[in-house]
Amino acid sequence: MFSRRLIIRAAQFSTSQSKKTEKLWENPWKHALHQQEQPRTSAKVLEVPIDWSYVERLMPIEIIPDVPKHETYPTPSGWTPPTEAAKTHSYYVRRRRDHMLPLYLERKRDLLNEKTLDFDYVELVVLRNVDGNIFDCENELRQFVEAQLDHPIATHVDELKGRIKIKGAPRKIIEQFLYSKGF
Amino acid sequence: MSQALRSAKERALQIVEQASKIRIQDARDNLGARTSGRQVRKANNQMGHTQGALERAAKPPLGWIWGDFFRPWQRMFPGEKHFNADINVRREYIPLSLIELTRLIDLGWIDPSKPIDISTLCRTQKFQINPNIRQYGFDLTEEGADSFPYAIDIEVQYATQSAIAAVEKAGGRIRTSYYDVNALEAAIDPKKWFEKGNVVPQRKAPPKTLIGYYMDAKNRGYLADESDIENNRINLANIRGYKLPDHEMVTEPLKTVDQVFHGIPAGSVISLADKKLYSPTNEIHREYYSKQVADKQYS
Repeated sequence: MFSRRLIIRAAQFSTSQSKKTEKLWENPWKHALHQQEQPRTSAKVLEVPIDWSYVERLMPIEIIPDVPKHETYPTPSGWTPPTEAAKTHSYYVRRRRDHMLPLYLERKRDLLNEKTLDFDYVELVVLRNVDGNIFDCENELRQFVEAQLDHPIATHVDELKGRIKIKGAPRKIIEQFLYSKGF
Repeated sequence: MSQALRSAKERALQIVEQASKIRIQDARDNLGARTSGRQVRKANNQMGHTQGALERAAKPPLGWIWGDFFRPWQRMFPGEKHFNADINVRREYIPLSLIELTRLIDLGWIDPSKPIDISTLCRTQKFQINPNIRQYGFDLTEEGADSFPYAIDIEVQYATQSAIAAVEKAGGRIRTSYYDVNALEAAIDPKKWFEKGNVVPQRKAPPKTLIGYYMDAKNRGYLADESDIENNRINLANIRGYKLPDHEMVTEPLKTVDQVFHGIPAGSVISLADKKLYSPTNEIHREYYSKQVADKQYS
């Protein structure tokens, strides 16, 4: 019953086809060519003048931009460029490509806590890009940080990669140390 | 129809026939109908267990998920009828603190003299927003609010009162505005959008659960009255006890409520190679891209 109804409806929509006297397959070429001549879309466009700077400011930044000139340093967010004082030490800490300090956070799994049966985690700060005498750097860093924190910290020096891992000190204090040395 | 209907298909068709109005969003997928993840075959998927382990193990009481064996979850939280029931429709906003914003401006990633919106923030390539997992934009948080120096014109999707106060104290202008999924996708990566040849979309009005937020002048919503916002701005300065700057520092006009990009009308196509903008001439197409529609995809 339902299907009959559908058929009746379909017939209503396809009245135009039944009126045609010539069948499609009698001359398919004519039909195809006729179709091609018809405009397929009513979408026409008009070129509109535009201030292209509006589009340019949307494009992704592909090269790290130069830091603009600031009147005073540190800048409002606490950033300082490397100074001449940095060259007076026996070691040198290179900046990252994006002008930031090479400080990274790392979280490693420690031993299983037997009371809570959860793993403890240690939070480390990794200082990278250290050139020259890395052990001098580690000594001075340790003195600076321990004077600030009043407790000993643990460090691990990877001379080959030029990295120092620090346990027990927040990144902010290590940042202060690097800025105080002029890096 | 005298004969009793048999299949669900027939019943569905009857509902459709009797319905007064059918919209395109009625035909959308159910939530979670399509997934982007790979479906592991059932035989291979052990999910951290093996079949044998399951068979031999002592079974926990029904409803027990993890934790105390003798206090299953549904007895610990008896009032929670639908735990995480809205997880599929919850919106996520990427936090952007004021100190991060200051740092981006300091290092030249963002130009404070130009209006800042999602596109400006995303073109630094330091944020990832994925609209497919219901991330809806940025949330401006108040870290660094004590010393925020730049008078900026910023548009975010959510902002705390402290962040609003900090921006306005410095002489800036802040608006919270809604981007629907399509507009957000265009705003996140305009280059990709233009290269595909997609039409610049028009921003839909927020869904009904969010319209209150964006019409509230307290939140500096983009649908609120400008006079209300001005009153609220003065009011917030009085409450928080700071002095607003005497003259307007930001004078550029705001985006219209359905505009995605500054200076680019909806419905146009941009050719990056030719540096040209084309807009439709057909009246139907023009009307389609100037019509205000609500985002009814999610409530």
